[in-house]
Amino acid sequence: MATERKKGRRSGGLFTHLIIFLVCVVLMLAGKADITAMNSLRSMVAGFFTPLAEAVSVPFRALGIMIDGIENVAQLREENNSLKEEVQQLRRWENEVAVLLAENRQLRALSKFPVPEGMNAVSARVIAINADSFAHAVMIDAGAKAGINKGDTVTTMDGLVGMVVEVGEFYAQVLLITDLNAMIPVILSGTSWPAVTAGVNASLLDLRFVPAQAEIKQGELVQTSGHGGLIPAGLPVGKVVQITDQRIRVKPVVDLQRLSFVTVLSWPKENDMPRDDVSDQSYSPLPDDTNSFSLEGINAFGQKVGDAANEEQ
Amino acid sequence: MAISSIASPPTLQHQCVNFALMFIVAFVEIALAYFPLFFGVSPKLLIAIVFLIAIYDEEQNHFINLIGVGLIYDMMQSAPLGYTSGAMILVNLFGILSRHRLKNVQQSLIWLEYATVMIAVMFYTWICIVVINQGLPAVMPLVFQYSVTVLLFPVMIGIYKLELSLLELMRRLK
Repeated sequence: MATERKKGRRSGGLFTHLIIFLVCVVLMLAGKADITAMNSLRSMVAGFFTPLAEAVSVPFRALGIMIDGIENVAQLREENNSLKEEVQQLRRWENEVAVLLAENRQLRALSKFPVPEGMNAVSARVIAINADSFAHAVMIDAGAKAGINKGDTVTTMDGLVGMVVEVGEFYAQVLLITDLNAMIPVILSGTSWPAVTAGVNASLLDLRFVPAQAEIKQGELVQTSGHGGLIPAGLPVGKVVQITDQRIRVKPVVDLQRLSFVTVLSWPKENDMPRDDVSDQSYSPLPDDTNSFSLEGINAFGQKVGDAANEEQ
Repeated sequence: MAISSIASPPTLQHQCVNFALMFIVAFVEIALAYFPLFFGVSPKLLIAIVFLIAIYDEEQNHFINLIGVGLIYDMMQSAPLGYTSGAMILVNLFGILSRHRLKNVQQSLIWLEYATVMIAVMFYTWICIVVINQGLPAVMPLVFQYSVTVLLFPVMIGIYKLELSLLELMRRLK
């Protein structure tokens, strides 16, 4: 009995546990130093186990879809009624939209609307979602072989999803905009005031560094500003849903919980970041005058104002 | 399922089964994130199974098992290497220390002990996130994650019993 006790102590003593725990802590801090060898090892192991993770996730994914389906049936009746009303409303708006689209085309041409030129787009499927509260990230099934680089922008048709933070041969890790480390330079679409969205590992984002004089409205769209040159300007990020004295919360326009396909926007190799012509690709705050809600040089009615009007005369 | 006060040293066959169980549980934990409810906050099944092995198993879980599975999990989840292993080592130590105390007590008291361990792991996670990311994360998702883990105690006991049955079967086949 005494020998057994001694053996037990030897193989699992308090001291040994603490030493190994300290090794883990050192490993964690070493990981923060972004050592290349460690990153390659991580990429290799993650790449090796990805097919297994995908295989294990199949029944859970199916079950998740089934649960979603059951929830949806309960909402369908209610939705059906509201949709009928919406259809009526939409028919009225259809005509208005046609007029506005034509107007929008003209305004874009006039204001040199910043479109990410010269970028490559790669479509990819989301193969693993992060389960841990440590990082909000997803894994996609396209990597370096498909031309994806670290820092590339990831989007869906709705708006910004996140950025590529790790690239393997056939996969890439995407840091979502809700992650604690994700800070995106944005502008408020109504007034073009600059700000930064910051993830807090929750479903909503914090809007930070908002100028004191900025007037923010509930439901206002927040879009990327293009500052820094990493993320192209004009991608919708979210809508302001909560304004209090302490904080402004933004709900992402993309449903990050139900990602299935994404588009990765990457700069061509020869154009690698940081870009010199960033200033041409990004927004700047509008001048604070009577036409504060209009594009530069054009008022809300599409008429030229200020210097633009003088030049015309 | 009785708890013996002393755990015997590790044997290869038993440790392989433990490793396989933890490995599968780790991947199930990752896959659970596909449920919209658990997006980013999957219950910490891996930590839970380490605690159960530490208090119930007749053999101690070997460090290689804990570090190996922890590192694989961290690599898959983009977490800092060593974060999960560290938590597993602490939980294992806590389980070994509590083992004698939990002998011949009611299951509800073991559940309470398990809840205490999960609260400790939650604080460990929070501290790690703050130190590594140098920012304050939202607390509610963490509380939800670990609350669900505590509620899943009976399920984890069931999973652990399956492992015991498998070991028993292997012994008989021998």
